[in-house]
Formats: sequence, structure tokens, C-alpha cells
Amino acid sequence: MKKVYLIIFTLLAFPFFQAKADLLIEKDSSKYYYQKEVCNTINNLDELLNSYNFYYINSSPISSNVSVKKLDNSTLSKISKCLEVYTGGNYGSDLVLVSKKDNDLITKYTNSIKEQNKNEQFAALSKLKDSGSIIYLNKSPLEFSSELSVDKTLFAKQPDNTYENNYYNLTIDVNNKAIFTKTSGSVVKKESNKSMENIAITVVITSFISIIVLLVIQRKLNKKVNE
Amino acid sequence: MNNYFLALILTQTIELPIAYFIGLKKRYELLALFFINCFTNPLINLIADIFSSKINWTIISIFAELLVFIVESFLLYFILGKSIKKSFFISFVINLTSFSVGVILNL
Repeated sequence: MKKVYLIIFTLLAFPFFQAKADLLIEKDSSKYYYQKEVCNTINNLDELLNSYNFYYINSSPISSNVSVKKLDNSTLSKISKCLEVYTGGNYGSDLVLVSKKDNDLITKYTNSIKEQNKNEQFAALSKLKDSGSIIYLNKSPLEFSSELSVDKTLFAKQPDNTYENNYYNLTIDVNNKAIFTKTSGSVVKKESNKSMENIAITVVITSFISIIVLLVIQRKLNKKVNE
Repeated sequence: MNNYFLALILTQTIELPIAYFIGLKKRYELLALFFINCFTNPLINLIADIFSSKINWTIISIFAELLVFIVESFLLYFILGKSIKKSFFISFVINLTSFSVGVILNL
């Protein structure tokens, strides 16, 4: 019987510690959950995504006559963190958010790609980065490659805590301009750190109470049989 | 949290009547099954939730259902003192039914 208790309590303890470990990993990597919290602090994220321009820099130069609204650095930084999640990880390296004042540098950068001048390319990138008004998503600027192929659609997600309107389709148009359009899809809801922790605790308590009741039932049954 | 509660209610609604028809006639037996479900259902949903980002959902569902079937069989055997054969039979039927209903509802 002791072995049975041991198995039962191991079963009880496993998901709890697993959940804890999982949450700690998420916290450590500062990836999904952290970004979600940051994104949730932007109240009008949808509005921002629809109002501002995103550029997809590839081997072809981006259009020089597109106007980009300037955002303050704090908002830019927040959006970039959200967009790291949107873009997943495979495509993010060549998606950038640029302010209008850097159009010259962008042209310089894209020209350097065309000319395959690596030194120029890195110099332009550094300047853009230093200016604080260009945001690289996911990978470091040095991983920018002129050989990247243009994917016409990317599946991007918004890391908020809702089911609906949780995903965005990111389409790259002929001018290499990225357009976000809201779409609904089969979305797996991700719980926040806190709510996941609460769920884990509630579940373990429920299971614990259940097993106590079951043991009481078993004891009563044994008593009845013995009588 | 609501999803966990809903899943538990649904499981109880399906499994208790089925269990009654296939052999758990006494009140304390049904009460035991109720608490067995309270023990396994939220736990397995939690495990499934934790692994959902890493493993394919179908694989998790099948693995979870198998685990529940085995654990519930042993719990029925140890708590109610049913024969191992009967415990496995009851557990198999009730879990197969609730799993099937779950699959149909998800379609």
C-alpha cells in the first residue's frame, strides 16, 4: 500500500514541479511571457500596427518615397519586443521599423547590398542602429543577408492573452512594404506566468483533496469488509 | 481556469452515467469515481498545457488519455477493491467514451 501512496504523490508532485520548472525557463529566456507583458502595456497596439510602416529589407532597395511616422524610442522599443514574437524567428532578421529621417541611410544600406559591398553595408547598419530609430527584429544586424529570399506571407502572432484577433498575417507587397492584417486562426491560448502558476496551484490542491477523500473512502470500505 | 473546470464537468457528466451502466452501481463507487476524475482530469490537462508548446497536440492527447486510463484503472483497483480485469474494463470504456465525445466536440 505504501508503494501506491508513493506513486500517487509522485503523480501529484510531477506536474507541479514541471510547471514550475517550465515557468522558470520561460522567465529565464525572457522570451514569450516577458514580451507578452510588455506588449500588454501598449494599449493601442492594433492601432499602432495599422498606422505605421514596416519595411522588409531584402536585396532590392526599399522605396525611397514612403513616409514613415516617427515614434518615440520607448514605444519603438516596446513594439520591437512585440514584433519579435510576431515574426517567430525565421524571418525577423530582415524586418525593420525605420523612422523617416533615416531614409538616406536606408538607401545607402540597400545600395551596399546591391553592390555587395559588405563594409558599406555594415557601416550603414551601424549608423542606423546608433541613430536609435531602426529596430531589428530577432537576429543581430550582422546576420542581415542579401541572399534572403522574400517570403510573401509570414504568419505572425500577437502575444496577448486573447483567443480572437490574436494573429496577424504579414504580407510583403511589391514595394517590400509590410502590411499587417488581422486574421483569426486556430490559436492556442497561452496563459501568463501568474495565471499559469495559479492554475498549477489550484490543480494540485484539487488533486490533493481528491486523493485524501479517496483514501478515506478506501479506509471506510476496508473497515466494512473487516466487519 | 474556466477551461479546466469545464473539462472536469464534461468528463463527470459523461463518465458517471456510463460507469453506472457498466458496473459501478453503488453510491460510494460513483463517489469514488467522481473524486478519481477530480484527481486525474485537472492534472492531465495541466500536463497537456505545459507540453502543448513543445509537442504536437494529437500526440499529447493520446498519451494523456492512455496515462489517465492506466492511472484510473489502478485507482479503481486499489480504492474500490475491484478485480484488476474489471477495473481496466471500466476505465477503458469510460475513458474511451469521454475521449470520443471530446474528439467529436472538437471537430
